[in-house]
Amino acid sequence: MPPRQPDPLRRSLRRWTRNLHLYLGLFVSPFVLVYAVSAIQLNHSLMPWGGRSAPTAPTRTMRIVVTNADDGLAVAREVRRQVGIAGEIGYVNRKPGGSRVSFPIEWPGHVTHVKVDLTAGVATIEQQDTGAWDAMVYLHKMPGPHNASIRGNWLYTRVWGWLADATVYLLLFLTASGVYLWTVIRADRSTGLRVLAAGVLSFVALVFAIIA
Amino acid sequence: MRLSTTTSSAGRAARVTRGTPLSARVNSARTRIVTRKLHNYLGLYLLLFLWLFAASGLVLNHSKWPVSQFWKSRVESASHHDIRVPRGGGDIAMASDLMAQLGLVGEVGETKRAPDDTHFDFQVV
Repeated sequence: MPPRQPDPLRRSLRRWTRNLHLYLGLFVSPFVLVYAVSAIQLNHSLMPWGGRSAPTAPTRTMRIVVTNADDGLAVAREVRRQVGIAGEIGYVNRKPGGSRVSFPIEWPGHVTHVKVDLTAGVATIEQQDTGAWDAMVYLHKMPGPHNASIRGNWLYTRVWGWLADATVYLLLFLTASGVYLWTVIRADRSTGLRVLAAGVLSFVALVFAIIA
Repeated sequence: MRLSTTTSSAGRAARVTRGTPLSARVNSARTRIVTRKLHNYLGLYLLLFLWLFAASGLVLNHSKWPVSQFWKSRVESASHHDIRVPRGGGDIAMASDLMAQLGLVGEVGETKRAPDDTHFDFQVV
């Protein structure tokens, strides 16, 4: 009796899934590495070479002109344009109706603290190089849940936010396709089942220990 | 010993292995098998952890999604208890002592102490 030929449709599905698993996995690997390294830094408060406590460059002042001073974010955007510094405005600090506005402009590895006196038309600028490790943590946290109403005020933060989402969706696809590919490898099925069960048990036990 | 065959049906593999010592090929095959098994088993073991971190990443990045509005639907309750003055000088030691007195379990979050030491606030998560 000749050996049973696998269903061509199933074979094609397996080949497509394997190729997608491989190539999408390669695509997403640099992003996963950034999240993995920065997760270790966050979990162990690891920030070599200064980070946010790094020394700042000498303060400088600039004359600025802001016509529409009603909205804090609009003021910050206008000042950011005039001082010529690219980056995400982290938050805007301003007392209601006040003439003083302060905000940070953040770029992975760099922070610029800006204080604006709208009455005098002067911006005080203080720049800080926070380094590559801080940049990793920054990327990990961006866009994040804080100041959601102003988040994405810099194009590259919006792009990074899309890439962060893409990383999650790709990871979900990689796990699902990985499980599918494992199920078609008959030799690894029993050990794999035991390992999967161990993983599920560990997860449930940990979640139960934390929640209960 | 060197293998120089090119008659393998897997032409690509033959091109790669042509002229490679047999022991190196065996080691390479063994490494590939071990790596593949590790890849499979670690992936299966960490499956639910990965799903948890992936889902929480989406929730953190999309604070406007309905599923992310959990903070608004929290339930708060207040109660008063008599306590002994906590032992220990540090914030964590004081919080741990108070948690034991109040029967609270969890991770000590933010702590705040008044400059004159008359008030001590802390959060248990």
